[in-house]
Amino acid sequence: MSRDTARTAALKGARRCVGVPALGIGLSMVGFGALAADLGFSGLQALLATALIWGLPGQIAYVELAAAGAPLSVLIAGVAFANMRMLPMTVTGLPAVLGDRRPGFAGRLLLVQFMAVTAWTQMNADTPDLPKPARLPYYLGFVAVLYAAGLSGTLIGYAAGAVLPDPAMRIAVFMTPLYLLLLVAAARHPTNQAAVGLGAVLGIALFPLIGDASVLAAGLIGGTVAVAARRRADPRDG
Amino acid sequence: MADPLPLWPLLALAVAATFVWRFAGVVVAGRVDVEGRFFAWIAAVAYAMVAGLMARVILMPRGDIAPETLWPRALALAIGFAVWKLSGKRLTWGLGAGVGAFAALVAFGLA
Repeated sequence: MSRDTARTAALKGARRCVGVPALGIGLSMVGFGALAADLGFSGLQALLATALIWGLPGQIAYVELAAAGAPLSVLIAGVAFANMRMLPMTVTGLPAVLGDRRPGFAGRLLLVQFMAVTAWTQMNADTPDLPKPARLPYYLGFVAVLYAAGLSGTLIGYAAGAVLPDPAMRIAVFMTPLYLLLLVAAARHPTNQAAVGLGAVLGIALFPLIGDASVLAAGLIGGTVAVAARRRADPRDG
Repeated sequence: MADPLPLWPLLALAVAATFVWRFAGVVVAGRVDVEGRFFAWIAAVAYAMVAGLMARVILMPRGDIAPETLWPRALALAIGFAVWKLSGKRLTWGLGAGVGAFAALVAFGLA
Protein backbone atom coordinates (compact mmCIF):
# COMPACT_ATOMS: atom_id res chain seq x y z
CA MET A 1 0.00 0.00 0.00
CA SER A 2 1.27 3.44 -0.83
CA ARG A 3 2.40 5.98 1.71
CA ASP A 4 -0.48 8.23 0.81
CA THR A 5 -3.11 5.58 1.39
CA ALA A 6 -1.53 4.76 4.75
CA ARG A 7 -1.54 8.40 5.70
CA THR A 8 -5.17 8.77 4.65
CA ALA A 9 -6.12 5.75 6.77
CA ALA A 10 -4.16 7.07 9.77
CA LEU A 11 -5.86 10.45 9.49
CA LYS A 12 -9.23 8.75 9.20
CA GLY A 13 -8.51 6.82 12.39
CA ALA A 14 -7.35 9.97 14.15
CA ARG A 15 -10.50 11.82 13.08
CA ARG A 16 -12.65 8.93 14.27
CA CYS A 17 -11.10 9.31 17.70
CA VAL A 18 -11.65 13.06 17.96
CA GLY A 19 -14.99 13.51 19.68
CA VAL A 20 -16.62 10.93 21.91
CA PRO A 21 -13.72 8.43 22.21
CA ALA A 22 -11.04 11.03 22.98
CA LEU A 23 -13.41 13.03 25.16
CA GLY A 24 -14.48 9.90 27.02
CA ILE A 25 -10.92 8.77 27.73
CA GLY A 26 -9.81 12.33 28.47
CA LEU A 27 -12.59 12.82 31.00
CA SER A 28 -12.15 9.43 32.63
CA MET A 29 -8.43 10.14 32.97
CA VAL A 30 -9.32 13.54 34.46
CA GLY A 31 -11.12 11.51 37.10
CA PHE A 32 -8.06 9.28 37.55
CA GLY A 33 -5.67 12.25 37.79
CA ALA A 34 -7.89 13.90 40.41
CA LEU A 35 -8.05 10.65 42.38
CA ALA A 36 -4.26 10.21 42.25
CA ALA A 37 -3.75 13.78 43.47
CA ASP A 38 -6.25 13.22 46.25
CA LEU A 39 -4.41 10.08 47.38
CA GLY A 40 -1.05 11.87 47.53
CA PHE A 41 0.72 10.69 44.40
CA SER A 42 3.06 12.97 42.48
CA GLY A 43 2.01 14.28 39.08
CA LEU A 44 4.75 12.27 37.39
CA GLN A 45 3.60 9.06 39.06
CA ALA A 46 0.01 9.67 37.97
CA LEU A 47 1.16 10.39 34.41
CA LEU A 48 3.37 7.29 34.24
CA ALA A 49 0.59 5.11 35.64
CA THR A 50 -1.61 6.21 32.74
CA ALA A 51 1.19 5.98 30.18
CA LEU A 52 2.49 2.54 31.17
CA ILE A 53 -0.57 0.71 32.54
CA TRP A 54 -3.06 2.22 30.04
CA GLY A 55 -6.07 0.47 31.52
CA LEU A 56 -8.23 2.53 33.84
CA PRO A 57 -9.55 -0.16 36.22
CA GLY A 58 -6.00 -1.40 36.88
CA GLN A 59 -4.78 2.17 37.36
CA ILE A 60 -7.50 2.81 39.89
CA ALA A 61 -6.74 -0.48 41.67
CA TYR A 62 -3.06 0.54 41.77
CA VAL A 63 -3.53 4.01 43.29
CA GLU A 64 -6.18 2.82 45.76
CA LEU A 65 -4.21 -0.21 46.96
CA ALA A 66 -0.79 1.47 46.97
CA ALA A 67 -2.15 4.43 48.93
CA ALA A 68 -3.87 2.08 51.38
CA GLY A 69 -0.57 0.31 51.99
CA ALA A 70 -1.98 -3.02 50.87
CA PRO A 71 0.34 -6.07 50.90
CA LEU A 72 2.28 -6.61 47.68
CA SER A 73 0.35 -9.78 46.84
CA VAL A 74 -2.97 -7.91 47.10
CA LEU A 75 -1.67 -5.03 44.98
CA ILE A 76 -0.41 -7.34 42.23
CA ALA A 77 -3.54 -9.51 42.25
CA GLY A 78 -5.81 -6.46 42.37
CA VAL A 79 -4.21 -4.79 39.34
CA ALA A 80 -3.90 -8.08 37.44
CA PHE A 81 -7.53 -8.92 38.10
CA ALA A 82 -8.73 -5.46 37.13
CA ASN A 83 -6.83 -5.54 33.85
CA MET A 84 -7.18 -9.22 33.00
CA ARG A 85 -9.44 -8.39 30.06
CA MET A 86 -6.26 -7.20 28.28
CA LEU A 87 -5.64 -10.88 27.47
CA PRO A 88 -8.82 -11.58 25.48
CA MET A 89 -8.74 -8.05 24.07
CA THR A 90 -5.18 -8.56 22.79
CA VAL A 91 -5.99 -11.98 21.34
CA THR A 92 -8.97 -10.66 19.40
CA GLY A 93 -7.89 -7.05 18.90
CA LEU A 94 -4.44 -7.70 17.45
CA PRO A 95 -5.63 -9.66 14.38
CA ALA A 96 -8.36 -7.05 13.84
CA VAL A 97 -5.84 -4.20 13.53
CA LEU A 98 -2.99 -6.05 11.81
CA GLY A 99 -4.91 -6.59 8.56
CA ASP A 100 -2.37 -7.98 6.12
CA ARG A 101 0.66 -6.77 8.10
CA ARG A 102 2.94 -9.19 9.95
CA PRO A 103 5.26 -7.26 12.29
CA GLY A 104 7.73 -9.15 14.50
CA PHE A 105 7.05 -10.17 18.07
CA ALA A 106 8.47 -6.96 19.57
CA GLY A 107 6.45 -4.89 17.12
CA ARG A 108 3.24 -6.70 17.99
CA LEU A 109 4.03 -6.32 21.68
CA LEU A 110 4.49 -2.58 21.20
CA LEU A 111 1.24 -2.30 19.24
CA VAL A 112 -0.85 -3.93 21.96
CA GLN A 113 0.50 -1.62 24.68
CA PHE A 114 -2.03 0.87 23.28
CA MET A 115 -4.83 -1.66 23.06
CA ALA A 116 -7.35 -1.03 25.82
CA VAL A 117 -11.09 -1.11 26.03
CA THR A 118 -11.92 1.99 23.96
CA ALA A 119 -9.60 1.12 21.08
CA TRP A 120 -10.60 -2.53 21.23
CA THR A 121 -14.34 -1.91 20.98
CA GLN A 122 -13.92 0.80 18.35
CA MET A 123 -11.57 -1.32 16.22
CA ASN A 124 -13.92 -4.31 16.42
CA ALA A 125 -16.70 -2.06 15.18
CA ASP A 126 -14.74 -0.25 12.45
CA THR A 127 -12.03 -2.49 10.97
CA PRO A 128 -14.27 -5.10 9.28
CA ASP A 129 -15.41 -2.32 6.92
CA LEU A 130 -11.84 -1.24 6.11
CA PRO A 131 -9.55 -2.73 3.47
CA LYS A 132 -6.91 -4.87 5.20
CA PRO A 133 -3.91 -2.63 4.39
CA ALA A 134 -5.72 0.37 5.92
CA ARG A 135 -6.38 -1.28 9.29
CA LEU A 136 -3.00 -0.83 11.00
CA PRO A 137 -2.55 2.85 10.06
CA TYR A 138 -6.19 3.46 11.05
CA TYR A 139 -5.49 1.90 14.46
CA LEU A 140 -2.29 3.91 14.91
CA GLY A 141 -4.04 7.17 14.04
CA PHE A 142 -6.86 6.34 16.44
CA VAL A 143 -4.65 5.39 19.40
CA ALA A 144 -2.28 8.33 18.86
CA VAL A 145 -5.15 10.74 19.52
CA LEU A 146 -6.54 8.53 22.28
CA TYR A 147 -3.18 8.27 24.08
CA ALA A 148 -2.61 12.02 23.86
CA ALA A 149 -6.10 12.63 25.24
CA GLY A 150 -5.52 10.17 28.09
CA LEU A 151 -2.20 11.69 29.11
CA SER A 152 -3.56 15.24 28.85
CA GLY A 153 -6.63 14.25 30.86
CA THR A 154 -4.47 12.76 33.61
CA LEU A 155 -2.45 15.95 33.95
CA ILE A 156 -5.51 18.20 33.77
CA GLY A 157 -7.30 16.09 36.37
CA TYR A 158 -4.25 16.09 38.61
CA ALA A 159 -3.99 19.87 38.40
CA ALA A 160 -7.69 20.70 38.45
CA GLY A 161 -9.10 17.88 40.55
CA ALA A 162 -9.12 20.04 43.62
CA VAL A 163 -10.76 22.93 41.75
CA LEU A 164 -13.63 21.21 39.90
CA PRO A 165 -16.85 20.94 41.89
CA ASP A 166 -17.84 17.39 42.81
CA PRO A 167 -21.12 17.30 40.80
CA ALA A 168 -19.30 18.23 37.57
CA MET A 169 -16.79 15.49 38.30
CA ARG A 170 -19.52 12.91 38.87
CA ILE A 171 -21.21 13.71 35.55
CA ALA A 172 -17.88 13.56 33.70
CA VAL A 173 -17.01 10.21 35.24
CA PHE A 174 -20.47 8.80 34.37
CA MET A 175 -19.91 9.29 30.65
CA THR A 176 -17.01 6.92 29.92
CA PRO A 177 -18.47 3.64 31.22
CA LEU A 178 -21.81 4.41 29.53
CA TYR A 179 -20.01 5.07 26.26
CA LEU A 180 -18.13 1.79 26.53
CA LEU A 181 -21.21 -0.18 27.56
CA LEU A 182 -23.20 1.10 24.56
CA LEU A 183 -20.25 0.44 22.29
CA VAL A 184 -19.97 -3.23 23.33
CA ALA A 185 -23.77 -3.56 23.25
CA ALA A 186 -23.57 -2.72 19.54
CA ALA A 187 -21.58 -5.93 18.91
CA ARG A 188 -22.50 -7.42 15.54
CA HIS A 189 -22.44 -11.11 16.39
CA PRO A 190 -25.51 -12.37 18.32
CA THR A 191 -23.25 -14.44 20.59
CA ASN A 192 -21.37 -11.33 21.64
CA GLN A 193 -24.62 -9.39 22.11
CA ALA A 194 -25.82 -12.13 24.45
CA ALA A 195 -22.46 -12.08 26.23
CA VAL A 196 -22.81 -8.32 26.80
CA GLY A 197 -26.30 -8.71 28.31
CA LEU A 198 -25.29 -11.61 30.54
CA GLY A 199 -22.03 -9.95 31.54
CA ALA A 200 -23.74 -6.70 32.52
CA VAL A 201 -26.36 -8.48 34.65
CA LEU A 202 -23.81 -10.77 36.29
CA GLY A 203 -21.32 -7.96 36.89
CA ILE A 204 -23.96 -6.00 38.79
CA ALA A 205 -25.55 -8.92 40.60
CA LEU A 206 -22.30 -10.53 41.75
CA PHE A 207 -20.44 -7.38 42.81
CA PRO A 208 -22.10 -7.02 46.24
CA LEU A 209 -21.29 -10.68 46.88
CA ILE A 210 -17.74 -11.16 45.59
CA GLY A 211 -16.41 -7.64 44.94
CA ASP A 212 -13.95 -7.07 42.10
CA ALA A 213 -13.84 -10.78 41.28
CA SER A 214 -17.32 -10.19 39.81
CA VAL A 215 -15.67 -8.83 36.65
CA LEU A 216 -13.89 -12.13 36.14
CA ALA A 217 -16.98 -14.20 36.95
CA ALA A 218 -19.21 -12.08 34.69
CA GLY A 219 -16.75 -12.52 31.83
CA LEU A 220 -16.18 -16.25 32.18
CA ILE A 221 -19.77 -17.22 32.98
CA GLY A 222 -21.43 -14.71 30.64
CA GLY A 223 -19.11 -15.47 27.74
CA THR A 224 -19.28 -19.24 28.17
CA VAL A 225 -23.07 -19.33 28.55
CA ALA A 226 -23.50 -17.08 25.50
CA VAL A 227 -21.31 -19.32 23.34
CA ALA A 228 -22.96 -22.53 24.64
CA ALA A 229 -26.48 -21.19 24.10
CA ARG A 230 -25.66 -20.10 20.58
CA ARG A 231 -24.18 -23.48 19.74
CA ARG A 232 -27.26 -25.26 21.04
CA ALA A 233 -29.53 -22.96 19.02
CA ASP A 234 -27.55 -23.58 15.85
CA PRO A 235 -25.13 -26.52 15.97
CA ARG A 236 -23.55 -25.53 12.66
CA ASP A 237 -22.50 -22.19 14.10
CA GLY A 238 -19.07 -22.26 15.69
CA MET B 1 1.51 9.13 52.38
CA ALA B 2 4.51 11.19 53.45
CA ASP B 3 7.08 10.05 50.93
CA PRO B 4 6.05 9.31 47.34
CA LEU B 5 9.37 7.62 46.47
CA PRO B 6 8.59 4.10 47.75
CA LEU B 7 5.70 4.06 45.29
CA TRP B 8 8.00 3.64 42.30
CA PRO B 9 8.58 -0.12 42.83
CA LEU B 10 4.81 -0.50 43.36
CA LEU B 11 4.13 1.28 40.08
CA ALA B 12 6.57 -1.09 38.35
CA LEU B 13 4.66 -4.04 39.78
CA ALA B 14 1.33 -2.59 38.65
CA VAL B 15 2.73 -2.03 35.16
CA ALA B 16 4.03 -5.61 35.09
CA ALA B 17 0.69 -6.97 36.30
CA THR B 18 -0.96 -5.40 33.25
CA PHE B 19 1.87 -6.08 30.78
CA VAL B 20 1.79 -9.80 31.49
CA TRP B 21 -1.75 -10.08 29.99
CA ARG B 22 -0.84 -8.20 26.85
CA PHE B 23 2.33 -10.29 26.49
CA ALA B 24 0.36 -13.53 26.93
CA GLY B 25 -2.19 -12.22 24.44
CA VAL B 26 0.46 -11.65 21.77
CA VAL B 27 1.88 -15.14 22.39
CA VAL B 28 -1.55 -16.76 22.12
CA ALA B 29 -2.87 -14.55 19.29
CA GLY B 30 -0.64 -16.17 16.69
CA ARG B 31 -1.70 -19.68 17.69
CA VAL B 32 -5.47 -19.52 17.70
CA ASP B 33 -7.64 -19.95 14.65
CA VAL B 34 -9.42 -16.65 14.15
CA GLU B 35 -12.57 -18.37 12.90
CA GLY B 36 -12.45 -21.16 15.46
CA ARG B 37 -14.50 -21.88 18.54
CA PHE B 38 -11.77 -20.95 20.99
CA PHE B 39 -11.49 -17.52 19.42
CA ALA B 40 -15.26 -17.06 19.54
CA TRP B 41 -15.24 -17.98 23.20
CA ILE B 42 -12.37 -15.60 24.02
CA ALA B 43 -14.22 -12.77 22.28
CA ALA B 44 -17.45 -13.52 24.13
CA VAL B 45 -15.59 -13.58 27.46
CA ALA B 46 -13.99 -10.22 26.66
CA TYR B 47 -17.35 -8.68 25.71
CA ALA B 48 -19.00 -10.03 28.86
CA MET B 49 -16.09 -8.90 31.03
CA VAL B 50 -16.15 -5.34 29.69
CA ALA B 51 -19.96 -5.17 29.96
CA GLY B 52 -19.86 -6.50 33.53
CA LEU B 53 -17.20 -4.02 34.59
CA MET B 54 -18.81 -1.01 32.91
CA ALA B 55 -22.29 -1.79 34.25
CA ARG B 56 -20.81 -2.07 37.73
CA VAL B 57 -18.81 1.19 37.39
CA ILE B 58 -21.93 3.02 36.14
CA LEU B 59 -24.21 1.77 38.92
CA MET B 60 -21.77 1.30 41.79
CA PRO B 61 -18.87 3.74 41.32
CA ARG B 62 -15.90 2.96 43.56
CA GLY B 63 -17.81 0.00 44.95
CA ASP B 64 -20.61 2.09 46.45
CA ILE B 65 -23.66 -0.20 46.61
CA ALA B 66 -25.96 2.17 48.57
CA PRO B 67 -29.48 2.28 47.01
CA GLU B 68 -29.62 6.10 47.09
CA THR B 69 -26.65 6.35 44.72
CA LEU B 70 -27.76 3.32 42.72
CA TRP B 71 -31.32 4.19 41.67
CA PRO B 72 -30.64 7.53 39.90
CA ARG B 73 -27.77 5.90 38.06
CA ALA B 74 -29.96 2.95 37.07
CA LEU B 75 -32.62 5.38 35.83
CA ALA B 76 -30.11 7.39 33.76
CA LEU B 77 -28.68 4.14 32.37
CA ALA B 78 -32.16 2.89 31.43
CA ILE B 79 -32.98 6.18 29.68
CA GLY B 80 -29.70 6.16 27.78
CA PHE B 81 -30.16 2.53 26.77
CA ALA B 82 -33.79 3.05 25.67
CA VAL B 83 -32.91 6.10 23.55
CA TRP B 84 -29.93 4.25 22.06
CA LYS B 85 -32.20 1.32 21.13
CA LEU B 86 -35.05 3.48 19.79
CA SER B 87 -32.71 5.66 17.73
CA GLY B 88 -31.44 2.61 15.85
CA LYS B 89 -28.42 2.12 18.12
CA ARG B 90 -27.00 5.59 17.57
CA LEU B 91 -24.20 5.96 20.08
CA THR B 92 -24.29 9.74 20.41
CA TRP B 93 -28.05 9.74 21.01
CA GLY B 94 -27.90 7.09 23.73
CA LEU B 95 -24.87 8.65 25.34
CA GLY B 96 -26.37 12.16 25.22
CA ALA B 97 -29.66 10.97 26.71
CA GLY B 98 -28.00 8.93 29.46
CA VAL B 99 -25.50 11.60 30.48
CA GLY B 100 -28.17 14.29 30.14
CA ALA B 101 -30.54 12.38 32.39
CA PHE B 102 -27.81 11.83 34.94
CA ALA B 103 -26.80 15.52 34.80
CA ALA B 104 -30.45 16.50 35.40
CA LEU B 105 -30.65 14.17 38.40
CA VAL B 106 -27.42 15.65 39.76
CA ALA B 107 -28.74 19.19 39.15
CA PHE B 108 -31.89 18.40 41.14
CA GLY B 109 -29.81 16.93 43.92
CA LEU B 110 -31.11 13.41 43.30
CA ALA B 111 -27.81 11.81 42.30
